[in-house]
Amino acid sequence: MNKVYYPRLNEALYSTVLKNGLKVYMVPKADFQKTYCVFKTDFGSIHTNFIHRDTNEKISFPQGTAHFLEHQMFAMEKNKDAGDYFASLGADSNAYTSYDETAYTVTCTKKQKEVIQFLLDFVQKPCFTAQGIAKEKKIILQEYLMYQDKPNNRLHYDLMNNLYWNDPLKEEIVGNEESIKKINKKILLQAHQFLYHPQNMTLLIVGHLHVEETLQWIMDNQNGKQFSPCPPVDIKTPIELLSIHKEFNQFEMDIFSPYVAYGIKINPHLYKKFNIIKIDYIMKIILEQLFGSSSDTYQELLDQDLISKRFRYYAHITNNSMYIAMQSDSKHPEQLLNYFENKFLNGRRDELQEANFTRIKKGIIGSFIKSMDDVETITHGILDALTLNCDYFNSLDILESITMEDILLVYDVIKNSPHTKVIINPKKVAKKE
Amino acid sequence: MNRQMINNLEVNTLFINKFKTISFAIVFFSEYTQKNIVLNRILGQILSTTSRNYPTKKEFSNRVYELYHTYFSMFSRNYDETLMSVLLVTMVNPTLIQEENYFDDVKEFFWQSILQPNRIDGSFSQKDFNEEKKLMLTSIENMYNNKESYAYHRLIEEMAPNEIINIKPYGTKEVLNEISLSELTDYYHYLFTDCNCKGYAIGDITDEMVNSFFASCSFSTKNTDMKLYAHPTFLPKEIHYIEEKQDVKQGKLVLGYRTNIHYFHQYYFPMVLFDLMLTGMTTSSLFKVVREQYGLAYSIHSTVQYDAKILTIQAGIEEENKDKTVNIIQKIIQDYQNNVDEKLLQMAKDTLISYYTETNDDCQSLLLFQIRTDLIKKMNIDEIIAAVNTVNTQQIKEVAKMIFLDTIYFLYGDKNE
Repeated sequence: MNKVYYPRLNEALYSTVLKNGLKVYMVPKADFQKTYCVFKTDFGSIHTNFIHRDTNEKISFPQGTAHFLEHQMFAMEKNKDAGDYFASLGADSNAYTSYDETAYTVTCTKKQKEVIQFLLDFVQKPCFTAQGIAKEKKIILQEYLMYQDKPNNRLHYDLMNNLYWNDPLKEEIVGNEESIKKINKKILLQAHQFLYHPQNMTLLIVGHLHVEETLQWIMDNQNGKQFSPCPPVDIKTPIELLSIHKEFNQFEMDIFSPYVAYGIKINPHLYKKFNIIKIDYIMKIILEQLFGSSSDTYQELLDQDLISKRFRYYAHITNNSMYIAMQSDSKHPEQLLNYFENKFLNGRRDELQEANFTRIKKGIIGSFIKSMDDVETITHGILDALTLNCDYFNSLDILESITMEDILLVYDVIKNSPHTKVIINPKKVAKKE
Repeated sequence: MNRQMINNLEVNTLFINKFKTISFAIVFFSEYTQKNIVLNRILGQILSTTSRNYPTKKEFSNRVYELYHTYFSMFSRNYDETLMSVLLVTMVNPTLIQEENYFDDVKEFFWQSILQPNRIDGSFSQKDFNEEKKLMLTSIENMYNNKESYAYHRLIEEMAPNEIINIKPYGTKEVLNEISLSELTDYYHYLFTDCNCKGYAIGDITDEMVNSFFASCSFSTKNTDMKLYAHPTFLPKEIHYIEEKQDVKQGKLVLGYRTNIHYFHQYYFPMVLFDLMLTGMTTSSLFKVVREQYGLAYSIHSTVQYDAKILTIQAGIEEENKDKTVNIIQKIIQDYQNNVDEKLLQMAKDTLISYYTETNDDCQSLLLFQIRTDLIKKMNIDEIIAAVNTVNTQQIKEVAKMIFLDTIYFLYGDKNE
């Protein structure tokens, strides 16, 4: 395996690509007892349209297919369930679907060989029945309804709908009531065939492990299987305009006080100027300077009673889409949105100061080093960086290369980008505290 | 765990060199009351965001960043009627930071922040106090928005209005309105001068560092053993039904059971395993039947409050499936009185043992485990694992016989509204 040692962090990342195309990464953590494994495919909720490279045929899946497939993968022959088998090994299994990936996770403290090999087996062997799919539809519809009662979830997707014309970011990861009903065995098998080929998948193991031995277990497992050639399909990315879809939207829910979201749509071509992780850090530094607890703004927002403890801000940065979101519940929603608008439209470059920039950089360095104690954080940090073609453990060097000029350049881009607003209003006066 | 007295404070240290962080904590033990919970939250916020040397949030936060995001927090946990207030500081291992005085700077910042808070004439800042009260009030009001959490707390309000479990960890409007600035100041003095406390240190540290860190303090350590209370045993005479309508798309069902099994009960570990067998794993009975077999819910989970001896089971379901779901849950629990799947019990044991083993991989979990162990169980992880392994199916049956349904709460709405 290829080994890269990072002396500053005293961590090592091992990697290789197997003959069948499967990418394997490992990070051994000395003296840790837990082993955390993630087997993931680059197939998420935003991937619904494909083109066959040879025939030019267009293939579309209903919204929520990646998530439905994630649920259904646990079904095994003879009505057995993969989660049950993991439990019999003393391992805890789970899975999640995000916008751009589906991941199967297992945590264990013993029987690592059986656990890792079974993780590969169950994800690579679909076993779908019409009965199982019908049952799963009922469960997923309940999941969908559960999310409809969560104001933050509704706020997020409404913000996405305001920001985007065509980007599937605006669609819920679980799909919707109609699209979930359309999903059938043929669609799930086709999705699995297209997107669960080893060439499209990554296995990452972090924690208690012996690198060479673990690799041998993986190779033994994969060498014993036959895989068809990787289907020649490309993901069709819809054309997205640089402008926003809607400037404002509001709706009602049964909540106590209003929720607001403010979004800024950034031209993703910014990545041509900087490494994508660098953009991520630059955005973090800018937002922290403008709205963090070390800013004058934060105290002003508290003094004016505009935000609550749930106030949060973040930047979503990928090669295809970038946006900034600010969210809070607020007794004065219009005032808060106007404050955000004014802050960005009339903001001055001198609000971003070299001394703050240096301090925040130190803070991010400290948080990053501290996160090295958490196996799950390391794992998901590496996976996120891989999606962006970046070296996670090299993040600190990238962070330290950021200059004040970089900050100001991105700040100007943010200021000149289109923005949108969402409010959720309370449907009625709440009776209970 | 190494135990020593430093400046009259009992300090417990765990020397582990695998972590890149070092944690120090001061734990205060006081009485678990609604008022103390509220005072604790306000005080924790003030102490961890301002100090005499850094009197504004901005200045304090800037210092946190300068110290590589070495933040400290104050949080609370209760065990029975004992309230633990934990002041925790987590710093990067100084060997990974290229700054000679980093450890001393963190130490100074921590002690200055808690021993020299932002006070005028001995009293905390009225502005900071009002601000924290306002933010806390908003959090209390917005509990209404999280429907799952709202449903759980409504069940507890109805089922156990005068019991310890109804003390709300996020506070109440009534208590919040009553609290004055002078009470906060008195509470601060009480914690730092009269209250029982202990010190903890975990990470890649030396004796010298521990001694140096706690040399700045001056506390009095008294007996911190947890008090045992003779809690009454509840046998509900009838099942209470409460329904409430809101504009929700999915019904939130909560069942409240009396368990009569306390931390110190001989069936404590069987109860923990029974809880796991109900909902804690993908193989658990309720998960298998309610979700997988009937597709009634996406999420179903149970929680046991050992101080209150209450088990709750919560699921998101459609209104028309309420009775069916309740009947299924009831039948499964009753079935446990006669039949216990030995394989499932073994899976629950493996899961629980794995959970305890993983505690060793997380600095903060280890710290909390140690505090809890000192207070109640007095068992190390190996002893706990041994105790878990001795649990048998008969004990699970006995536990199931000690479970009595008390209250059913259902929050429902019109899906099409």
